[in-house]
Amino acid sequence: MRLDAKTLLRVYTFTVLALVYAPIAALAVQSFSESPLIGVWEGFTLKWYSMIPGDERALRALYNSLSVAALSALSSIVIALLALAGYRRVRRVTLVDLAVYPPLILPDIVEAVALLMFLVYLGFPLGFYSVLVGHTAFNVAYAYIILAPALRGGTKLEEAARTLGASPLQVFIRVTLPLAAPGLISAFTLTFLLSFTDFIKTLFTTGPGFETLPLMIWNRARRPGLGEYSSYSYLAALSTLLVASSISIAAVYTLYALRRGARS
Amino acid sequence: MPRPPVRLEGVWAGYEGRVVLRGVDIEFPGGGITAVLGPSGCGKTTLLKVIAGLVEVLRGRVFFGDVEVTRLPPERRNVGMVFQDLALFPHMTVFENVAFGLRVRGVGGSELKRRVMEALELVGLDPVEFASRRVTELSGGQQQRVALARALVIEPEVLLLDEPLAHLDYKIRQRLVWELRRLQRRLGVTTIYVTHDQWEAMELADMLAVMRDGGVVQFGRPEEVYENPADEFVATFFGDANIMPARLLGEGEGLVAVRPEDVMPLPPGREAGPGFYVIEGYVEDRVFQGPLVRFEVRVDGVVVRSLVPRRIARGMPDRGPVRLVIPKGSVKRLGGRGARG
Amino acid sequence: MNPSRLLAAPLILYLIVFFYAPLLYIALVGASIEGFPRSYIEAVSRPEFHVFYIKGAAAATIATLMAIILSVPVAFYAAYYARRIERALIVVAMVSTFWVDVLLRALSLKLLFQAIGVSPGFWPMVVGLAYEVLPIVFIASYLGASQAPRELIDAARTLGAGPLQAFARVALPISAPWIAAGAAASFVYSFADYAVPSLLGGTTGFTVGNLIYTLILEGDRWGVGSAVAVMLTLVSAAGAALLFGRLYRIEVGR
Repeated sequence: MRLDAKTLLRVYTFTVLALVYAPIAALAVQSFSESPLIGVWEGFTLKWYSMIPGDERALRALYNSLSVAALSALSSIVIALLALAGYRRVRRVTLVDLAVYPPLILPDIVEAVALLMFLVYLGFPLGFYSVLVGHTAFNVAYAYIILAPALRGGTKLEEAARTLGASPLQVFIRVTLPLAAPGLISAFTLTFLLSFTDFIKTLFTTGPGFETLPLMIWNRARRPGLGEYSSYSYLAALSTLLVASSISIAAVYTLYALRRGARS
Repeated sequence: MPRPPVRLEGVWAGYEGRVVLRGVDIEFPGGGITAVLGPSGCGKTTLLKVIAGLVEVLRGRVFFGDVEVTRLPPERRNVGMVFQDLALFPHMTVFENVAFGLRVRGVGGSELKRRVMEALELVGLDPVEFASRRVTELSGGQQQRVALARALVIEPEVLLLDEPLAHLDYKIRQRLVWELRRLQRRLGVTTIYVTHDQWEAMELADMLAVMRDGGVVQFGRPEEVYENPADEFVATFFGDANIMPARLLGEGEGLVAVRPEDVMPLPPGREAGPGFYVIEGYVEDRVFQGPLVRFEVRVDGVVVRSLVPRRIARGMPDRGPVRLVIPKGSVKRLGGRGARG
Repeated sequence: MNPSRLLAAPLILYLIVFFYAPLLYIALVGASIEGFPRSYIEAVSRPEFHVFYIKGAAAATIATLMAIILSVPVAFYAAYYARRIERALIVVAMVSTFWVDVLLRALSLKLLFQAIGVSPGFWPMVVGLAYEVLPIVFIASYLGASQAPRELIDAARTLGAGPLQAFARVALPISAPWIAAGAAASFVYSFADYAVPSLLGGTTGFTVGNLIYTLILEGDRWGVGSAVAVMLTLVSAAGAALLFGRLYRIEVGR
């Protein structure tokens, strides 16, 4: 009886997992197909992949995405760290705590529309910087909630270090930083990925000539054709690479988080 | 209510591919309390879960009386179990927690209410005051009582207790142990009490099983085990013991155990009788322990502990040479296993 | 005031300038461009818009239900039955797709649909939305299942409950608020989504996200567009407040 329930659930679980990965598998298969047409297999090829280095639009979009993601992740972490440093010894829920939640809860599209209209009202030029400030607006909130537990909970250990004879600087280097390090890694990984994969906010707040990878893929996916860089199989090759890298980063990160969770 | 003995025959068990119990053979007497004592990780919780049916038996058999239950799922065994962290249902009131086992048995209406109220009274909780409280609002001792009531209300044939008092303060623990003993005597349910606390084991147990590394090292009445520990591990885990190397007549070198209360200082000018060993030593420390005083005496480079009633200790120096006497019958030769140089 | 509190100033200022002020701004614009309350009345009453609201709500509801049906049993399997390595594998596999660009997930589904001859429309969009929100509902359910530790299930079993009873009377009630939180998040997400409808919706699949996009970026109807956005904000804020209130009570209750 008990074994039966377990076996059923197990079969169900792996069926769901198969369903979840079926589209991604289809994408990967398509990317190796000789034919540019969807669902048509005319033999194995790597030619779509070999086209990627020549696709200047994609490379520029990749560069744009990487720079926005890295800058947004770094600046949001710095801003969040500063704020947390100001409230080290405060245990109760503060106004700052409450202020960071709405950006996490509100639908992307509302934030995006509001920011677009406000930036236009201010006369702020749309492009790299408008996208960057838009991404950073949700990233500061994520960075704050990820970093808060480590930075707020560690004061007892810092006090212990002080009684053992460490100076404030030594405490910072030997206790505070090592304790915050896992949080910093998490915060960077998550904010970077959130920005790198963001679509809606970028779609609304970008200006002419500034395209990130998600935008480029969307533009091409909406009007696919048989042209060099707009065929489905080429798009599939590009997407497969991106999916594979996102999934590996996410998998490594999740495993890391699970292991830390299991230890504490 | 039947009071079946619980018997394990060559039981191997474990989880997630890890074997925890390695061939356990034991019979817990029906109607009595057996304490299972051992350090953490020795498999005592797994032993309980095997009896409850929560851990799969890899090899061997489990019996309640004459009935084999090895493959019976937990809900058909009629055991009451109090878990280490109590495992009270956080989404239910005290009443609903206690009623759970009756509800799933289809008991309802006034009988349900009566039996829950009786169970709460049995464990010393005022039903009027506590029935509708949330379990999360209760103190540790009160939660413990609710867990016990929940396990007893189903009138189990076997009661399993997994270190139920581990998280409580000393005073509350002491009171609950005494109450538990009285309650068990009244109900006569076959009870197995797992603990790593030797004081709890001594207070409660009719029989004592000492476990180590997934096996039962020694099983017997507590006094027997105390008088004749099987090895160094049992001697030091159940009570305190001086472990000393000795040359035994006709048997070569070996280890012996002597309980500290069997080591007595000899007052100056007195001689020991023929039934005693006499050794010379030097008192290094004196520790007051209430009714008793412990002396730490250095003998040939080894520290021997001597436990002396307060009145006798009065004439002893804090430091200085001393002669110790040990009744010959109290020196126990230890078995091979667990004996370390 | 403690001067070290000033260190929080950059964060607060940043959120005010780039988050709260824009929200306030659209609330005002929605009210002023075409004169209050005309934009709101139009947003509520115009029949062409109702299609978006109704279809959007229907799509979001069905997608959320599908995600629940697909992920809750998996979450319970992972939490209660899977051994350590298998559990890690399932959690990693279910969560990882969340970090793949929404567009890439929608695109891969679009390719799969086209390969098997399904053209964009309402139902493909619903499946796409369910695909998007699956990780959200899974994480919530898994966290919920972890609130009812194995020991509680064991306790229910020793008290005489069978596996199904233990699930229905202990595991499910304890994790239900978490599943509900995941469902609410998933509903708001799908209701407001634009990425999936734009790729998989064809001409019949639309959500409120489509409506806002059309009004703002294609139609230049900023007054009505912001009125719709403000109402969407209120709906999701109300949902979040309800749920957080409930979770908070549960946390405090223990």
